Amino acid sequence: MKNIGVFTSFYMKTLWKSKKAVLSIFFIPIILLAGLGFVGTQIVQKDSRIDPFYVAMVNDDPTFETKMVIRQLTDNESLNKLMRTIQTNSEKAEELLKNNKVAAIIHIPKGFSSDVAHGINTPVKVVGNNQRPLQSQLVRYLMRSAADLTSAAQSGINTIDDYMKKMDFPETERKKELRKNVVTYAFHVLGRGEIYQEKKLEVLFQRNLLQYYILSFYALLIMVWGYSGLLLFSSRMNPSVQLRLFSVGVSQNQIVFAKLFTLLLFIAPLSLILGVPVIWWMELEVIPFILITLVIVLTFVSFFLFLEALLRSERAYQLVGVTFIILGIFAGGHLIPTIYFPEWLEKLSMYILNSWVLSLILSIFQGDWTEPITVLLVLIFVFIVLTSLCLKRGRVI
Amino acid sequence: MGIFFQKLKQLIFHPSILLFIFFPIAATIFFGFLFEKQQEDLVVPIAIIDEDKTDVSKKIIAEIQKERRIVVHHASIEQAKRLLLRNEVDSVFYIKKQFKERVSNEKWGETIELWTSPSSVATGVVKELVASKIARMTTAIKASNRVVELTEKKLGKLSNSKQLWEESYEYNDQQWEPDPLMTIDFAQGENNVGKKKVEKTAATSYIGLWSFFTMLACFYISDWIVKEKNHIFPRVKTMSNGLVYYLLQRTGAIFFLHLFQIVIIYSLFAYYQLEQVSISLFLLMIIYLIFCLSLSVGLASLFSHLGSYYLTGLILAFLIGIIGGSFFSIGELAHWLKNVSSWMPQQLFRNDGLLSEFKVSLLMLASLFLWVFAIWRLKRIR
Repeated sequence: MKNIGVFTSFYMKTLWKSKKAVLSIFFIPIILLAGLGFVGTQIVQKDSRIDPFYVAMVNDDPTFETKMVIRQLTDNESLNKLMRTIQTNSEKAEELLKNNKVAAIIHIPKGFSSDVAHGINTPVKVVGNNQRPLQSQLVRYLMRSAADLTSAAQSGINTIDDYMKKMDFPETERKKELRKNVVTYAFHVLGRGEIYQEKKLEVLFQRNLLQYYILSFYALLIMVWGYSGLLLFSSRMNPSVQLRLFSVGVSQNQIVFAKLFTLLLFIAPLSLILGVPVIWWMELEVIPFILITLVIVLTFVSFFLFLEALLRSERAYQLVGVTFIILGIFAGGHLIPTIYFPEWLEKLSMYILNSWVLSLILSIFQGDWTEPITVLLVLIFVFIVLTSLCLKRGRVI
Repeated sequence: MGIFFQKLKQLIFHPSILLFIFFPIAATIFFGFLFEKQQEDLVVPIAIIDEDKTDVSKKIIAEIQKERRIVVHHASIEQAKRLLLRNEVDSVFYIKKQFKERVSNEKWGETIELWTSPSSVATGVVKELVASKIARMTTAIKASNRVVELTEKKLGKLSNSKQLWEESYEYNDQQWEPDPLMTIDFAQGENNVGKKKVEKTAATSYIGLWSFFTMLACFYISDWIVKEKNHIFPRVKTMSNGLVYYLLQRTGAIFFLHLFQIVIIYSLFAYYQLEQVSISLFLLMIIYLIFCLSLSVGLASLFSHLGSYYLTGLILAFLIGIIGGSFFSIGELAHWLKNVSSWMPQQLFRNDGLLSEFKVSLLMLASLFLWVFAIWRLKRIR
């Protein structure tokens, strides 16, 4: 125990001596993640902040029906916040696409209306801009819904018209009915929003996406600190000094525990300082938040200690560490909440440390913390035991 | 050239160094595949409460379930509320009692309650999709009602009106098979007839990931400058032009190995059609590599502690990667971000019309400047 204390104070002093490095290591990630967080909130608050994008519309079949199809896209308030249409011809549209001015081209082919009226499927061509993959995918989905709505309207019109033909209704009456139906059905599908009665469910402690991302980045920051904190100790104690220490009875385990304590003493207070505004703003309970922070710090520090002991080469530790961080960010749900993951990825995320850490920190809203905390405590224990085993193996060799 | 071949031999016979050089290939393919699959398969979980429990409501739910990107949870009111509040679903569609009856009477207003929470993000798109499924039914109902009405107007009250109604409903429904009347033909890319369309849905490109991992690998592999700075460089400097030649030849050996890496990844891109390849892309990749190596040499000349160097390199690689659009095209989010992004080295691969010869030359100039700066710094070491 005494040795651990001595080494902890040694490492603390090391960190203290390299103030410049320590400051940069602790503050640059904050700036970096704050930047990322800023980008994240831009995505979340799509409506107000993001510039609406433009879509080129080429209508080679200017009839009442096609104008109605276009209205599906332009007469919708929530869509208008997101995208605007430019009506143009195909040459200009291609030029706009080439110059990255539009997210997609929607091309209604000639004869579209008469084909549709005769039950012939004529696809509307949508060309996405591959420099704007997100926006063009959005256009794709909206167009699919618009196409289904048009199909719905048109099938109704066709059914009535075909039955009237079958029943030998006079031509004039049929034409009159057709004209009327074109309008009726167009407005019927345009009024699709009426079927919904929207309710926003809000209760106390309900989290919103902004809160999700703030906590997600808080956890991520601790991960990055844990990873980089260990790097600060690198090459501070050269192998010959270490060998001499071992010869006087200091064990590897003591050094590992000293590193663990030092990083805990370093990262936990820093995290909690950052946590103060978070607690205050989200009105969180203080004690659970502190405990959760401590568990998260321990989880990441012990994980990276294990990784370092396992790989032994410093550069290998870095590469593998970075790979785990990137994997954690994407598959752990830091950017896209895991509920939106496909099944296979949701299963994979069960094996990713970050998803457990996230569910622990988010449990502060729901109180369902027993499962993640058990998993993480077991993992911390396993990591420490494995670290010790790896180091033993290293000494024998 | 002696040092060049010597180092090349050393690098080749040192497997752990080779690992660093080929790391970008493995990481690009692994993460590229993972992200592509992730983005292709992203789903929106919703909960549906069916209080109507009629054939109409069941059919609508079945139609929604057919959608690849929507995962439907059947729930009671209480369960649905819990799922939404625990953020396990994006939104809740509550089909109320008498849904069928009201829809049949063409009174479809407010027949479905849509519950959202402050974290719902995909509601807009899902709402449109569900509406389109329901519209398919309501228009069929509306048309069938009208057919019966017209027929009765012509022939008088029918005894088999129900049969006629069902017949016309069926007729209406058949127009959706095998394809609906209107479909869209989606293509991503240039709108040239005859040109092969590569349909890619992922926002993360392989070349973007490659640019990030290559930069990272360059930072790690240039750590020898930090290590040798205080021990070997002073000795090398005693020879005329020794330091410059030494730096150039050692970096040259690394550059040579990275060229191999580029050839391999380029062939993979071409073979598996992961990216649209061209000779200009190949050349741009080489220019990018030169810039990365220059940047890492420039950065290494600033540091004397390895840990700090590694970390700064890592952070820089992330920063440039995120802003430059290695992971996702940040310029889509806001206009000013696009402007900043267009000055990052990754711009070489984004081909969004903002790349000019001027910017390529500027990048080359920056590489040269970084070299001059590094040599100036390293020469000052006593």
